[in-house]
This record gives sequence, C-alpha cells and structure tokens, in this order.
Amino acid sequence: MDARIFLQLVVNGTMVGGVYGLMSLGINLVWGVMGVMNLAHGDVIMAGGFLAFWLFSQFGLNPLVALPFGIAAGLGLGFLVQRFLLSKVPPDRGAVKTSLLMTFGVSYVIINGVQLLWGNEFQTVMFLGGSWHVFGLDFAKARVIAFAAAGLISLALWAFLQYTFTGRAVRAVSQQADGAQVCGIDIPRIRVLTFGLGGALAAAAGVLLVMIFAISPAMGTGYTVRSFAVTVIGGLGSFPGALAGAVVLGLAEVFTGYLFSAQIANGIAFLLFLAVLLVRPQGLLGAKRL
Amino acid sequence: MKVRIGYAAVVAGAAVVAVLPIFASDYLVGFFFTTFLFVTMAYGWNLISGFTAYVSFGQISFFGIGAYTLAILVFRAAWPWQLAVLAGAVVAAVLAVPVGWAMLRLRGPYFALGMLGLTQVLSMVASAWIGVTNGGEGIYLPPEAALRQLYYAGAALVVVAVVVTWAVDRSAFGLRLRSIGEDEVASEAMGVDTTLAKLAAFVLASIFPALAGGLYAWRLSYIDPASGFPPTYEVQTILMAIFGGAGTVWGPLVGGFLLTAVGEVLWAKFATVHLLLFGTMILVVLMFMPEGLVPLLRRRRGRRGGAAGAPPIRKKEAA
Repeated sequence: MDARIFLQLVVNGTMVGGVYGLMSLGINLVWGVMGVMNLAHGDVIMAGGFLAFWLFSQFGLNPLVALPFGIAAGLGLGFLVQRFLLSKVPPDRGAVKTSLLMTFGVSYVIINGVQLLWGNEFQTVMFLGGSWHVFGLDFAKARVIAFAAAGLISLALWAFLQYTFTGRAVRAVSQQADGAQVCGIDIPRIRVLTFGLGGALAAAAGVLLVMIFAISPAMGTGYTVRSFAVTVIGGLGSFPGALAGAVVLGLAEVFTGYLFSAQIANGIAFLLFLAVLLVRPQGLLGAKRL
Repeated sequence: MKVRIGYAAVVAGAAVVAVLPIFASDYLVGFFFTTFLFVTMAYGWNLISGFTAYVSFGQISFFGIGAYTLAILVFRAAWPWQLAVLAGAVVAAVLAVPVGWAMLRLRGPYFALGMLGLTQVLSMVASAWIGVTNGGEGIYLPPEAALRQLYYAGAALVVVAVVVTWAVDRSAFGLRLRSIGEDEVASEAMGVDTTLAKLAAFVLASIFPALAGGLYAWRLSYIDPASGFPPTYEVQTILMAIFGGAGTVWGPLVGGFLLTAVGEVLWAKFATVHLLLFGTMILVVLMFMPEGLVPLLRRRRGRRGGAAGAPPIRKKEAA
C-alpha cells in the first residue's frame, strides 16, 4: 500500500468516524445516566436514515434540512418509549433484564414500521456528489459535510451538558441519582429527557449516515453493536474517548474493507468490542462518568 | 388433585402428539413440526436466560451452526441426515465452550450486546466463507426430507428439552444457576463456581437450537445466511419463553404451543407485520405479565387452596 492510498484511507476512516462518534453518544448518554442499554438504538439510527431518504425523494429536502425533522422524531420516540414503557419497569434486580428485553421488542417494532412505511430495500441519499482535492487527497463532499455536522451536534450536546442547568441535572443524575433527588431534581423527568436525547442523537446520526452509506431496515442491529463498540472502545462517559473510539472503529472498518472485504469490515466492530472488553474493560480513555 | 390433572394433561398431550401424524394432513403435521422447533429453541433460551440473568439475544447463532453443519455434511460428505443433525449439536457445543468462556465474562448488557454481535459475525462468516458454505448462493440439499420422520424427531427434541429442564430445575446445578440469576457476587461468595456453572448452562443451551437448526435445514432442503440466522426466530423464541414463563419447566412449552396456535389462526395472513406483532407482544408481556403465564396460573391455584405452592427456592416474584 503506498503512502497516498494509506493517507486516503485515514481520511475516509476519520470522516466515517465522526458520524460513528455521534452514533455512540446517544447510547453512551442513556447507559451512563439511566443504566439502560438501548438495543433499539441502531434501529432509531436506521429509521432516521430512512426518514431523511423519504424527505429527500418525496420533497427534495436535503439531509441537512431534514436534520431537525429527524431530531424531533427521535426525541419524540425516545420520550414515548421512556414515558410509557421503560419507566414502568420496577427498579429491582430484574430491571436490567426487563429493560433489555423491552428495547429488544421496541427494536423489532421500529424495523417492521420502517419496512411498512418505506420498504425493505437498500436506500441512500445522493445529494452531494464529487469531492474536494487537498494535498492530492480526495475529501468526498458528502463525508466532509456529515463529519462537520456530526462534530457540531456533538459539540452542542457537550455544551448543553456542561453549561445549562438541565444539562448539569442530567450529569448529576448520572453521578449520584439519590443525591440529585435530594437536591430537588425531578429524576423521572430527567430520565425521559435523557432517553429522548438518546433517540434524537441516534436519528441525527442516521440522517447523516444515509448521505455516506446505503442502509436497509435489517441494518439497525449492526449499528447498535457499532455504537456500543465505540462506547466500549473509548470508555464509558468520556467525550474524547467516544471520539477516539469512533475514529478507531472508522479506521478499522475502512482498512479491513480495503485489505479484505466489506463483509469482514462489517464484523470488525464486534471483534474490537470483544477484544477491548476482555483486555481493557475500562476502554482506551475510560473516564468514570459523564 | 390439581397436580394429577396436570400430569393427565401431559399424558393426553403426548398421546395426541404420538398418533397425530397417522390421520392428520401434511399441513397440520408440518405446523406441529415447526412448533416443536420453536419450543425446543425456547427451552434452550430458558436454560441460559431463564435460570441465570444472562439474557441471550444470540441463540439463533447456534441454530445457524446446526443448520449449516447439517447442510455441509449432507451436501459435501453425503452423511445421513440423522447423524448430521447430531453432529450439528456436537459442533455447537464444542464452539460454545470458547464462545461462552469469552462472553460470560461480560455481564448484563455487555453479554446481551456480545451475543447480538455473535449472530452478526456468524452470518457474515456464512456469507464470506464461500468455499464451504457457498456464500450468499446457499446450499441446496436433496429434497428427500420425510415430514413424518422429522415430526417425530422434533417431538423427541421437545421431550428431551422438557426432561433436561426438569432435571436441571430440581438439581443442585439448577439451584446454582438460579443463585447466579439472583446475585452472582453473593453466589460466588457462597462458594459456587459460577464460571463453571454458567459455562455448563451456556453449552447446554447451545445444543437445543443447534438440533432445531439441523432439522429445520433438512426440512427446508436449502440454507443460506438469511435462512440460517433468521432474526425473526430469535424474537419469536424469546417471546415464547417469556410469555410462558422464563425460568420455569413448563413455560416454554405452554408459551410455544399457545403462541404458535394462536398465531396460526390469527395472523398467518399478515406476514408483513409479524415482527411488529412479536415486538409488541414482548412489550405487552413485560408490562402486564412479567413472570409469564405458568407462574401466574400456579399462584392463582395456590390462592384457591389447591396443591402445595412452589418449591422453597424460586426466582423472586415480579421480576
């Protein structure tokens, strides 16, 4: 492999990594704050992608314009699932098991819903072809835009959690739920908000993803695994970790795709996930909490 | 008295199952055969996820391994199908040892995600390893499957699954598994070799879907990555187990038969919304009947002053 191809693959992998980072933030937030592993996360990503595809093919809206619609839909879906399903799980020892099974059920409701609404085929949005050439490397326009948008949304989430009152409340619940409650934070509301945010982030990631890749309804599970793999690689509850993990995964996929085949690249997330969990369970840059 | 009625129902059910193929139509026999496969898989899931707290979303991996082992052995080595089905179980059990060793070090959601990923990786292997699996083209088998033979094989599987679960339920091994489900750390502190117990349950739980997968592939006389690792079956299996009652001896049987029977009547014609229905039913069961049907009925009966209640150590009620 000559140096130019190598650098080109690094560029491609990093761009994809940006979107993967956004993908993982939602699952990371929900897991960190609520202790709930959302198995439907990838399906919300997939549904967000299909929403963007539908808005583009029906109304000619490009994915950047579709982004607010995707975010609103993901937020609403997350609110509903938390308010009417997950909040009803009794908080005892069986809670983890029950919430896993619940989100598993939700995942298939979403998959089937997307199939009914938008069919079972692979779809993508080709609104921005071509690429920019810098230093002899190709920067595909769609990837750069998706990368930048993902970066901005991640930054907005970080600022929200860091500086707003509600954001601080979310972090407080993630650090010490009992303590937060004593301070007068309405825990059920924060949980609804957190799960909604998780859905919004997933849907936003899906809208951006569909600019780069073709997606199909069956691919949601793969994105759940990827999102969680990024979280595990980077370490739970760490923004820099999530970014690093996402870039690691993006690079790993692009390189295995180039050296072996796209099929093997699809499995690499799982292998990284397993390897990191077995060797370094706290992740590469693991922080304790958000 | 009630207990005797229960046994009478089992005996009567077994008698019906035994003589059914003599007079029933191919359609009905085929329907029961499919039901047997699902019930068997539900028992497999129950062994690992019902008894311990390790929720597996990847039992279908072993189903695929069984299906592919049968197809490869029959297609490439001309094995008789009965032997090939058993070989599938052996392959699954042997693979389950290292897989379980790695997976069971992960707890709760990590294990769940790991098992989800496992299915994905295996179906990827099935598509990519073209020299052995024929990749996406799949393997065509001679369409010689005799439905009534398969029917009895499936029925035998269910019997084995029930007996094994029953034996596990009353053994010290079963108690160890339940203690892991209750509190793994405490169980370990009490001197239970949790790693060994979990691994044994995992291996045992891998055998049933593998056997079901082998029978399924022989009946279908075709296998490809999509039919070898069908996510729909995973959902259906889990739904049946939790509907009947996870961690009980009779739950998967009751759940499996009720759901497939109701399903055949109600929604056989709505193939496009199967996943939606299964997903929604999982939610409904979890919301309104989290223990499942069997414990619910058993408690009702206890309240009416029927037979003595459950054995002393039970999973905590209302999960």
